[in-house]
Amino acid sequence: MDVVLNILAGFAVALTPQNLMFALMGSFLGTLIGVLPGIGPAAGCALLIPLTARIDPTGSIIMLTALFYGTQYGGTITSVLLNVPGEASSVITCLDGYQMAKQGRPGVALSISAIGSFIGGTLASLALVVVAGPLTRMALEFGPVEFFALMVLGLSLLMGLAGTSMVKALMMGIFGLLLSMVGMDPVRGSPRFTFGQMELMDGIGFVPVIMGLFGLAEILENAEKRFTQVVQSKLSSLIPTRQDVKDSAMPILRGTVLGTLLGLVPGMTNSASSFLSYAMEKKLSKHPEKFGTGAIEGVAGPETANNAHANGALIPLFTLGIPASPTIAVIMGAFMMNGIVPGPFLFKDHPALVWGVIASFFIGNVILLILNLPLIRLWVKVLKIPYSILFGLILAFMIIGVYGLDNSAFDIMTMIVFGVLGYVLRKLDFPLAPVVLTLVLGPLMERSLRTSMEMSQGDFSILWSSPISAGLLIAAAAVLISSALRFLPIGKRIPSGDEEV
Amino acid sequence: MRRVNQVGSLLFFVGALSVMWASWALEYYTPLGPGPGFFPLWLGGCLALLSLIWFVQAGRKPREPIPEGFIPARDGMMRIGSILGALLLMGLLIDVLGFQLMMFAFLLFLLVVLGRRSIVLTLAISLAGSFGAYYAFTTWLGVQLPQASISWLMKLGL
Repeated sequence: MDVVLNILAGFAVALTPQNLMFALMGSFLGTLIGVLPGIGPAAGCALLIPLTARIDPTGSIIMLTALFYGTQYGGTITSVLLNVPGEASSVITCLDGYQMAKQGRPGVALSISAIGSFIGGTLASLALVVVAGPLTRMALEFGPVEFFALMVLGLSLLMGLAGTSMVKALMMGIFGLLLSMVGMDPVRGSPRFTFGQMELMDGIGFVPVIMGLFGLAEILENAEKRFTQVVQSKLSSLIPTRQDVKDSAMPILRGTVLGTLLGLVPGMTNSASSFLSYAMEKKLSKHPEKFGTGAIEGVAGPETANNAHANGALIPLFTLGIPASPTIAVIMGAFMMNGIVPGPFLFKDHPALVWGVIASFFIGNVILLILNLPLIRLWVKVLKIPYSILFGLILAFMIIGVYGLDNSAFDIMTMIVFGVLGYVLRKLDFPLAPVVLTLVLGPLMERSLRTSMEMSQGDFSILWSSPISAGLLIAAAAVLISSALRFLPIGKRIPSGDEEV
Repeated sequence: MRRVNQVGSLLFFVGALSVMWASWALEYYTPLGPGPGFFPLWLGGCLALLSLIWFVQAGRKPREPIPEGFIPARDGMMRIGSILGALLLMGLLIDVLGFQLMMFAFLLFLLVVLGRRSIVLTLAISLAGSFGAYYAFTTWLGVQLPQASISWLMKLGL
């Protein structure tokens, strides 16, 4: 009953004209970022943070989360019409979506994926409503010791973002942790690695780092090639046949369950959800030979799964304070910039905000359905803007976003440094996702460890003194060992976390 | 490619050692537990160790040529250099010449050099992205963007 009352109160917050406008803006920008090449959801969210600094925390989080799940809708459009995935999670959609477009049925592919995305996103949000209460009650038992153990488990799960090399992923994780240590020491308040620079006293800006690693590095990579892009695409009817609906129904349901469950696992990417959904549908189909030739099931399942994943991945953030992916780490950064720490206390200390944001997911998914069905022609027109013009405008917005946060040209320089670094690290095949995640989690982790140590007067055994923390640390060790085994010849590779950003 | 990886790992190794050296100057342990230098020292050590493992891993791989596209072609280099140069100038001069002038010059340069569109379109985008964006962001969104610090430019409202 409490849950029903809470979500109703949430709707009262989310349905205010101001918050509706933020949900609309976030959904619109998310679809736009999904459609546009050269900028992913992580950089897109980071781009918006400076603007959100001047609005109230509820509105800003509503806008950022809408942008995040909106990119999943937008990414489909280019996959179907151009055979170029707007986002990594839509790669698999190219296989059948583009074939459907070639057969003169792009409208049907887009409408089924929009409907599937809507169902997946909405049901995953419902799952968040259901599990939020029990998970939060459990997490309220946590003190700094358990919180530290939880962070260790979260980081160990993130080794799923390792990509091709565990060593490189660990190096990037440590690099992010070291970056997070620049600035004032969280316990004693003394400067650390600031080299006498006043600008570094508050630490290295989170937004310039993300913008550099994901935004600028991507633009530099694209700049290697000549900027040519010609888009000629026409839409057919958007209305699916009765057979299309029948063929899509079960893949949509299965995609919802799969995406929501995988979204709960930190380190599991949207791409993994859509790939697994495609594989599952092909396996379960009576006509697997049709996959790759324009089978609607090959569009419906993965597109539903990646949206369910996007909303499901918000569950660990809201209930435990663990970001499951780089983009969610950016959203977590936005929470923290507003003085709010995601996790169990979020529901206790900021009920209006958290339930308002959760209610906005339902509204955001309705807005996205409207934006992606009746207004699909608008996005097709956006696709016709040449990249040679777009990249200049993206850079301009990045400069505004980075400078506008602290009115500091130093942040532009930081973005350039991390842009070059990101470009070089990509060339060397380093996964960049762990840098962002540890950059966000680093200060929280250090503070909880050092507070625990102060409680025990420097005795490390406090870390395994409680059954919860001991259990979490054992689980972390098990995850790390199994991740390491993945890199032996018998292991299988799953998509790296960078495929999301 | 082996040499590239080995050089990369050595650079990381040197970086990790300098982190350890800088951490040494910080308080390592206090009566209440780890001090400000504790974490960075251990993390620096782990990074150094991982860099060495990467060095060894790279050395054990068979020699293979640098993959095509790893080093961009000359015109690609020029484009990357243009973008970085323009950004660097933006960072250095934005507080002196103000957002509007700098952004106009930035967009004009990039669109002329890399965009290669008609001059009318280039000018329109540059004006909208600089003077238009300044007006929109400062007036409607309350984002502060810098004005020129040179007095005669300031008097012109730039």
